[in-house]
Amino acid sequence: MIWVAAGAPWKDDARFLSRAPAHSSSAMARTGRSRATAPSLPRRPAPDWEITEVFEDGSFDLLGPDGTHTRVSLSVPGRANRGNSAQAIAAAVVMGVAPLRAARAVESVSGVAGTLPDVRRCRACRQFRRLAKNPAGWQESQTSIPSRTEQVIVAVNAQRADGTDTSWLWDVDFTPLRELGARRIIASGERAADLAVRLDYAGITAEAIDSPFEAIFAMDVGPVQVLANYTAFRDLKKEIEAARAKREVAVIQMSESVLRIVSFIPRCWVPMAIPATQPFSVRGQ
Amino acid sequence: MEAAESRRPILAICASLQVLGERYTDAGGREVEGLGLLDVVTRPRGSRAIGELVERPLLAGLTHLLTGFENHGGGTTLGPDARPLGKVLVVGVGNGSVEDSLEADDSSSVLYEGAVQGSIIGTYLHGPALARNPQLADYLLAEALGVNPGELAEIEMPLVERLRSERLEGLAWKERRTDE
Repeated sequence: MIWVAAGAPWKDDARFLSRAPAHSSSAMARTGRSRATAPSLPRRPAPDWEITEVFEDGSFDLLGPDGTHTRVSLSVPGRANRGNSAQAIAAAVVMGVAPLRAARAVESVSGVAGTLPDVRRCRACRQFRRLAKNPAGWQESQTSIPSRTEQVIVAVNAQRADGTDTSWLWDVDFTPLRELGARRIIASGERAADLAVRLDYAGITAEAIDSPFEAIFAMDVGPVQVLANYTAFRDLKKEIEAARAKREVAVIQMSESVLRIVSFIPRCWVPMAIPATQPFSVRGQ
Repeated sequence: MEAAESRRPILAICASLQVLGERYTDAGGREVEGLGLLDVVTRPRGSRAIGELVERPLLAGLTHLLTGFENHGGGTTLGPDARPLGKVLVVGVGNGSVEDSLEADDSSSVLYEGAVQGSIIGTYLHGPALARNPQLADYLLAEALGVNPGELAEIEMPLVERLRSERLEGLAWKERRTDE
């Protein structure tokens, strides 16, 4: 029997040891890393393989028998997949595959039928980003949006570097944006509310979503134009980078101002796989 | 001048308020004579007043808090013929001049904003003032049309409500209608 410590965050499937002798104290106590019950009953076995550390980007250290120690960096996200891959490596080793080769093999798995987000939940969008820092810049940026654009996000912050007075919004002529006739326009940034009112007065119906990053994924799959001022632009870049580091999105820089973003995370979270619970076997009664 | 004489409503914002006053000090430090329609004098404050501004209006007919953004280096003092538009609440500087309190029993320093005289409303509220304060806009429209504000057709503007909530968030005061 090979034991893999894959992590068992879900604790509610078994509070009681069903095969405990009648009248014994059968509640399981999960004390730290070792589940303890009454002294006569089985304890958690020592694992042969163990995920010893998980890093911020989702990669993890895997410790195996004979001192095998490798960092595994999967192409699929989530705790369940980490546990599954550790078990897959353990199984491959039992069948004669060298541990490091098994580890590299699981890393190349980019999709598991039925469990990864399918196309419906994968949001791919091409993001065209334009930075505009002043009313003149905003005027220019509007005219540079391609004529058949269907989705636009306009993001405005008013931090010190942007200028804290948003009066300038009313000096911008938003006629070009209105005449674009985009199907969806989202007002975003810290001053989404001010911007939405301004756009309303300009005859533009816009939804207000404070986070430009969220706004991107609120859009339909497809190209999205993003117009943002200084810190809104900067903060959006940071959020994209952070999501990329966590393997929640893949980002391809297609040109200086065009990014292709693919999200692996569905917006309404649905558990993707049953977490691998710790195998537990009772001998005797 | 004509509009003022015929008592048509005038909204004067920031520099306009100053120019309609008796005199003001320009960027070069020279004292300049204003139009004399508002009994106010504006001088450099020393430091610039920039930031969000909330005030409780003192003008009859205005019951909702006024919210805006101020950005001015001048401090305005009201003479006897002008009354303030509102009393500053929690955030903002307002006229930037310490006024005599209108209430005899008010011992703390009270900050006032704006200047109202005849049909003129002068204020340091940007925001814009009218976009953020529909009741003020309605007041001016009603005055201009010679009707009661209640006679104006209603327009729903949920985005404006959302903006007002956001700007007034965190203040101890909630908006309340005190009449009708």
